[in-house]
Amino acid sequence: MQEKSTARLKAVIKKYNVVIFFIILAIAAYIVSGVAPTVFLQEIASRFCRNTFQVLALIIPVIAGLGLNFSIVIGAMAGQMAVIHTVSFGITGFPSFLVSVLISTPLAILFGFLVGKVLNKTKGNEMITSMILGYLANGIYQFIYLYLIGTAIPFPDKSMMNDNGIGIKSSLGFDGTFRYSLTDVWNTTLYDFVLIAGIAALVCVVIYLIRAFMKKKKSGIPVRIAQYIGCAVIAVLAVFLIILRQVSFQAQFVMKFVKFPLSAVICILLLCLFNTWIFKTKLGHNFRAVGMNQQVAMVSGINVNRTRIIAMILSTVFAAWGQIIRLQDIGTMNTYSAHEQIALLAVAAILVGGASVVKASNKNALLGIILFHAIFAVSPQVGTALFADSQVGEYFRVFLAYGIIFVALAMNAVQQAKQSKERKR
Amino acid sequence: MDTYLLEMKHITKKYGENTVLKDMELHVKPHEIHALLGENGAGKSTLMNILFGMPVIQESGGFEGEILWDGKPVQIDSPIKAMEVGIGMVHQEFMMIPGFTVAENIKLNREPLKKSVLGKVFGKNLSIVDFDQMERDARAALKQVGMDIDEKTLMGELPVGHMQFVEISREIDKKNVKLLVFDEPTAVLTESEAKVLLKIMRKLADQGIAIIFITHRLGEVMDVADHVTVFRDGELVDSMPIGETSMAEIAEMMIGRKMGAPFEKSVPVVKEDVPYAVELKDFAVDMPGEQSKGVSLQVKRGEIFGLAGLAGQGKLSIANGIMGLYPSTGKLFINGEEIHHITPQKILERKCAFVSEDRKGTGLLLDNSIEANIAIAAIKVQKKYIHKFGPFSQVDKRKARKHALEMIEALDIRCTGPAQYTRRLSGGNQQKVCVARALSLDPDILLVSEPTRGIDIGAKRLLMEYLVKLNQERGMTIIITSSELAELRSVCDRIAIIYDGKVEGILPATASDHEYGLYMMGLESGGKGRSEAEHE
Repeated sequence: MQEKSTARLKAVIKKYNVVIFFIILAIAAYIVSGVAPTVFLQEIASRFCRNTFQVLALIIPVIAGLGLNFSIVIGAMAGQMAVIHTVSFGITGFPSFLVSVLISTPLAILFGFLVGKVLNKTKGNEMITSMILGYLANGIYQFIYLYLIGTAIPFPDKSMMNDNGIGIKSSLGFDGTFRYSLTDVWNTTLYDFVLIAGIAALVCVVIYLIRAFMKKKKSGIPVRIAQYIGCAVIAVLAVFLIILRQVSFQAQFVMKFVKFPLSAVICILLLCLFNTWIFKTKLGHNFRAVGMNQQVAMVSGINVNRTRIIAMILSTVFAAWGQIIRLQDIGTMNTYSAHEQIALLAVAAILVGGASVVKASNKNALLGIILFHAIFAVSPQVGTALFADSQVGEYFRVFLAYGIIFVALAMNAVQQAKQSKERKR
Repeated sequence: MDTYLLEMKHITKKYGENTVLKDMELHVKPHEIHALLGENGAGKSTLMNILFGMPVIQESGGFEGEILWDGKPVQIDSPIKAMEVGIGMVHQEFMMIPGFTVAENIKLNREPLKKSVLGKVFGKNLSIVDFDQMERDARAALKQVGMDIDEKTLMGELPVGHMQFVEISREIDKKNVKLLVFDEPTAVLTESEAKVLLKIMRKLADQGIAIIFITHRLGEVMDVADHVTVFRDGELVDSMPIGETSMAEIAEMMIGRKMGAPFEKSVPVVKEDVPYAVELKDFAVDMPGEQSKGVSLQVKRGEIFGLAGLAGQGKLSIANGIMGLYPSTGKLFINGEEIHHITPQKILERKCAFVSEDRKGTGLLLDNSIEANIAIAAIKVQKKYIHKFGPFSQVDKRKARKHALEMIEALDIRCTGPAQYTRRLSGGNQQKVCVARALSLDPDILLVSEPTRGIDIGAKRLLMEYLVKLNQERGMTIIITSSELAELRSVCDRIAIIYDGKVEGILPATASDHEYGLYMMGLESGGKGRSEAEHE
């Protein structure tokens, strides 16, 4: 019995080795950094709300066998283009968010289609191709916004342009216009969020119980019991947090202090739901089939190229929307470099969450972004604490992001080699 | 009565300059099992690719001729079209997704869908897949085939033998299917599984489905087919009902020359008191699926030694272990010298060469030319075909080519020239290239694994004859591992039967069938029965 449970534990550790490693790293970094809990939580909360949408955009291409989509950079550009023009029209507040989304969508669909076309011609090298396409698109984007704006393309808002009347300024601020256009729709504190989440979890449990009672299905009862327990745990956790508020003043203070833009979280949840739903549809099933074996999918009559293009379009559109969500929360934009790090950070985050080049889920994305940004946020302080130099932490950030991607790719290669060996049996 | 379901008329297909099919004819009736026979490279696969509308045909410039379906001309330009018409294919290499369940594979791209509003508005792609219904359908199809497989298991976890039946289930689950193509369906099956398969084919034909049956096993054709069409070198030889011909006649038509008496080796050249070329003591190899667990045997110099046994019993691992391709324990002596820490390099240096059973994996560089494939081992190991310029060296292309041409001539490799990529060769010719490469090392000891797997009679015979010639003329020691006992018995001096990873017994080629049978099943030493052997 003892041996069995040790073996099971070993299997769990092997399965989640990446995640476990980064949980330990995150905890260690937090302790070493000496950052105040409020600051720490605030950093994670705001980064979570800013970046998760784009990380979720990576899931569909992974499942469809296109690997990690580095060309979400192109989607981000579509988002930025939409934002620039929306702001130049003088639209403010929530409408400016909606208009940006509206403008970015057709752009992103077009870009996604083009990228998909290219990737269909370079099967087997999707990741490096998508990365290079990102750089190529960057050049075109710069050409349009540095040179064509003001010369070939008229632009209404002179304040956003360079002094000579050609090109957009390299840095734009959206205070009072586009900033917080989504965040302010429903901004709340972490404390309130936990409260709301707790109530939502309770409601879910009740609905679940009622539905189970109505259905009276006999099969799969253990599974359902496990699900009850899961829901119950969430509920108890929420209740515990409420009690915590009564008991500990400090905990209450921390949680009330941390801002939590619920409207962005709702967008993220909707995308999670979309991802879950799409993989239950025929289209999602095709994604999986194409991702696992193109040859077989094709012989079965699935239009492989079309399916791959749809996956790229969806991913690009979500990346564009994600960039809009991000920019409205940050409030400023480096016109020519805001998109550059997007793919790198998103890819690193989802990998930290335990995804691979061929497997990814909502769970990976959500967990990954929290862990990755927990480490990312405190690394300058860690650098200061350990080496008396915050610059070291800055280097560490870069090392972390690239290192994670490298390790993930290497592990994937090893795994594939193993699998092909096994297949020879 | 005489209405044909499928007629393919005057089919001609060229790959570049190379004509692979010339004025081919095929007529198939409903209710009929139509056997398609021909050597490897005779054009069977190409004809089936045309029938199935595979993209490779369109990409290489289409074909000439016409296809009639139910008497009407049809254009089959994609697999989807072929499916719509009612053609199903049971592939030689499984067209299955290992990460999907059996049910998902059977219903791939024909998933039952739930009715939903979104589905109605946006088309079937956004409808939810009905997984429960899918499993029910899959179970029904599996039942029709007579297989009791859990439809929820992942495809990748099924034994190879079962995959074939899942493929068939998938094809018959397509309700409109009128013609099924079986491409060498029994090649990977055990004998009992093959029997079940043939029974299912008969059953399906009786239900009105026409079947095109491609195989190398003439026995099966005689058992089950109604009609037989024979190809040779891309041309139609003859087509006739099975009752009007015989196995010998068909075999003769296939290879286009009179078959002599079954192959006989003249005299064993091995004398009694020669030293051992290879000696194994308690040799165990950890090769997944083919473990050997302590083999002791001696192979005399100048002997042709056979390793036989059922699949999964470990016979394949021995040669792989000797070559150092899989980790092994125990002792290995080559020409009396013990080899510690076996690596392929060490073994090759001792003038041993290996022809792997895995042609496409470890055997060939598929995207390299024939000459490069033949020369590479000799270049690496023996520094043959090399110019020396002080510290630099360069491959002597002219010498390598000359050698390749000699080999192509000697082994009758059918190709467009020494520069052709080996990927484009048929299985038999790929095998010959592997043998040629091993021979260019000029070995004293040659290990050959499954030399005739998936290749045709003509090529088989030529290979075997060549091995015997090498043995007799050069005194080469040859160790052949094969699943085909008859073949081993025709050339070997002695044959070791491997059962459960150990040597069950070593028999002379002349021992009786009965004796061989007992050893193969592990019954001689009171071992386990057949059922368990298959299970492994």
